[in-house]
Amino acid sequence: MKKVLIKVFSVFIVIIFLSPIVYTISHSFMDEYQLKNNEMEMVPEIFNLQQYYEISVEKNEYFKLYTNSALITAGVMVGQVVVSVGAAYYLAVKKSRFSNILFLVYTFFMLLPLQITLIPNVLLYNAVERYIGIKLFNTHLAVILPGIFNTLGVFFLKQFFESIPQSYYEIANIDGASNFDILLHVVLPYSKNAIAALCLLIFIENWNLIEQPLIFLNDMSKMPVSIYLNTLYESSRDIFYAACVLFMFPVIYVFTKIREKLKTMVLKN
Amino acid sequence: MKKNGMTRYVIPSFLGVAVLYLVPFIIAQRYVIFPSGSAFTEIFSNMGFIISIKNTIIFICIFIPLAVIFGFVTAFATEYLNLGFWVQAAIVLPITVPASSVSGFFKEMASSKALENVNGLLVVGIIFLWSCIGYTYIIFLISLKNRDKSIEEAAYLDGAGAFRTMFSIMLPLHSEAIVLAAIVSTYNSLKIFRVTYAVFGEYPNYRMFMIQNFLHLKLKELNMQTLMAGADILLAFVFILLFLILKLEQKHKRKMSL
Amino acid sequence: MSKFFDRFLKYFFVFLSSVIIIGFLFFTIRNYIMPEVTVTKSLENSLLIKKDYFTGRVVSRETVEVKADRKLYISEINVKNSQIVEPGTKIISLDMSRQELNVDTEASEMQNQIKSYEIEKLNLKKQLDSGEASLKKSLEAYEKAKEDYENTSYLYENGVVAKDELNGKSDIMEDCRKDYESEVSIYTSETEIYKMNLNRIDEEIEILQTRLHEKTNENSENKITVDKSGAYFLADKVYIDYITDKKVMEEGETVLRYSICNTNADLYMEAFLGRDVYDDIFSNKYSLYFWKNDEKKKESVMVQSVRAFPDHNELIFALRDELKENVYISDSVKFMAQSEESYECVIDKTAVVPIGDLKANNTCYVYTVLTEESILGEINYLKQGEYKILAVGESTVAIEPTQNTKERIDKNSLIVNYASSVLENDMRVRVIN
Repeated sequence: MKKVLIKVFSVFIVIIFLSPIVYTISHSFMDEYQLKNNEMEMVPEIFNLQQYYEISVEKNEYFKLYTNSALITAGVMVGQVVVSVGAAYYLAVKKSRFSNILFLVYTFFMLLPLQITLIPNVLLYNAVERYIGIKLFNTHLAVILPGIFNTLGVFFLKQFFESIPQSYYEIANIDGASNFDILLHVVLPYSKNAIAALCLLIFIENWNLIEQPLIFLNDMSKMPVSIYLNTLYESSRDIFYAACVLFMFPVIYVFTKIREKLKTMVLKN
Repeated sequence: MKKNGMTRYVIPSFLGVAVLYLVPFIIAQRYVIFPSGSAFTEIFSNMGFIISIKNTIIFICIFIPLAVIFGFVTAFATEYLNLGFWVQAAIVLPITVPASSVSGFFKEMASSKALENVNGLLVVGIIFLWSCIGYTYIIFLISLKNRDKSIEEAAYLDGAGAFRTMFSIMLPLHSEAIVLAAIVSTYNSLKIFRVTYAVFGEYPNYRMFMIQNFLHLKLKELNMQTLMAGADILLAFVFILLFLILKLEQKHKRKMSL
Repeated sequence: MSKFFDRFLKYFFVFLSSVIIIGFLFFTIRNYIMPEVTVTKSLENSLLIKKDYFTGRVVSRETVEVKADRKLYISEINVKNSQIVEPGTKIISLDMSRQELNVDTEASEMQNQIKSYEIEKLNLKKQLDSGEASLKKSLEAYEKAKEDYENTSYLYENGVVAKDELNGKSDIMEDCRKDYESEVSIYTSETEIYKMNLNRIDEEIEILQTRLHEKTNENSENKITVDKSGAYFLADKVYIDYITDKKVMEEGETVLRYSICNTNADLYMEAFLGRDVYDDIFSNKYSLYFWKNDEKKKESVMVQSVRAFPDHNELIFALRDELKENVYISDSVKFMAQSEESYECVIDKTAVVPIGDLKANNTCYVYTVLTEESILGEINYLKQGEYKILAVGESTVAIEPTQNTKERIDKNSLIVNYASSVLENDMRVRVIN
């Protein structure tokens, strides 16, 4: 009896949590006719790949935007990792007043809602445009730059780097390694998983970017897919669900791949 | 360890943060300071601001505890009832899914006849819970997996009932996790703008209008006074929060070291 | 179960990645695979020279009609309508096995009548003869009685018989003589009557016979004269105007109508047009021309008369005398009705994709090019509109929108030229000049 209840309960939870995703996927296989009536139906009447065909062959401007999303995410990921590794290394190793204050400032910025952090960006771009003459608005760089200097990476990596046992450093020091060598050969290999986890977090965060493009970008052709999906819902709903599924796909894929690794890493923490 | 040449590693990050965030922000304070406080009165008389603050506070007070509680309950259920892999995957998966992708489902749900009279804030809250329970769930799961089972067994042997065990023993034991879950949920609640945008667009119903929407709209029109005033208020709020966290951490450290 | 799901998940992911790859591929090559179109504009309120073509035939007014003179059973029909047959060609074959002999009912009745008259005559003769026989008998009786008296009188003179006997014999002789005389008078009147009847009957017979002769003469011209095998043919080159298609012909029905092919015949032209086509062509001001198949020169012609049938009209055209030399019976001729009319919307013929033939009252598709702003810049796409063809000209067509079409063509819309059925609604195209 208890087992049955447990089963029912777990099924219930699974259904509640997975229903939006399943709904989206199943709708991506529906044809246009069924999408026209706005009722909530779970199962497609006719299983057909019409939406995917249309989105890949006919109405494939979606892929330009897909490229935009990929570009922004890749740019931010690479940039943020590079920058954060350095900063986290510094903050983890050098314990001075300055570094403490800096860390506090970083944490502070990390907790700020996006809207507030966007304000200085906008002001900066305006100033750059006015005084230096480079127009940063409506370019991808305007979105990528703030992303690179997002302080989440520093926070995350610093916590991790701090957990490296001191003995590693001692050994390396005895061997006469320079700071850079320590970074390259000791810290980085040790924190492969952490960096991977950070990459995943950055990926999830930036794949889903909504606030920054709304402010910085004007052309629809430069927007990432996350914004485009909103207009797509109104304009051509017949490819909307396939677009959603294609957009969800990389995130879910990456997540399933490293689910195990993440679990072990988190448990270790 | 040579700590001299370390500075160079932090230079890019520091420069970036400074140029992109710090400096403009400090400079922008002039919009607030020089009208000498009128900005603040102005913003408080703005009806939209008041509504958004009210909504945000209601939202935080209701749904962050709910997120923590639900996360704890499901983690607890998973641990004690041995719910399988599917349940874990189902709860964790929504945190990865972009809000725009599942907006179709939520849009249909929100516009369906069943939810016509329901408060929009509730809908946003449900979506928020859906996407954020994953985080609290993971936190609690880790905490539960790493707990010390012996204390529980001792309490059980002493004759304490299930409820008493849970409340008096488990909760204090996982207090760290609870705090972390609260922090993470707060952090996620600040991202609620994405959900609102994905489902309701840039100009949502006044019931769902939260402070981020307000700031966003103001930013779009570059109304600097109101914007900076609102930003400063929010900043103060975060500052207070940070301060509380630090204090808690210090107290915790002291308690643990005892 | 979990493994199953993992495999399913893998397939799904592979599918999605392939969709993405295909999408990127098509995205990069999209500019090269879009169909190219050229555009043109429409002309408003322009004149359209509408030309309608139809065909007709040359026929002759002198036709000979052959009717069935009795019930005919036809086994084979060897010619068709509008065919020219050489002399001696078999036209129809009668089924001799079922065919009755040449019995003309009216004639046979007459002949029967004659026969009955003859029989009557014989009867009368017999009657007369029997009268004559009785006369002879009474004569014989008188003669005998007379001889008897004479014998008796000789005997009386010689004192053999008494006077009584002689008187008796003389009475008998007297009776016989009276008898005989009455017989003679009866016989004479009978002969008279007989003669009268005979004349009468003879007269009747003569009348019937002349009539019979007339009849035979009358039918001999158009009678279906068949040879032993039942084949019917004519001795001239003829143009078959009409040949029956029934296998059993009642008396009086038209079997065949033909015209003899010679240039002296009174020729004219006829054409058949459907009701709506006729209304369409002849409701406006028009000028009519005709020409023979291979000739270039068009001659003008007028409509002489129109005969209306339930579903079509028959038009008769008069041929001027000088033209009669050039045409031959059963030639097919082409007609063209030309009229000029102003239409609101006229576009090139090449811009129209007709459903069915390119003629008036059919529908057609016309594609307009619309531009839309999309995230990749300006995209041209086609909108299909359904239009009704009002008139077809030399190189232009007049159209008007049907009620299915929401778009109107105005003088600024771009219309796809050289449209073909490859084009579809909402198709993206590249415009070249």
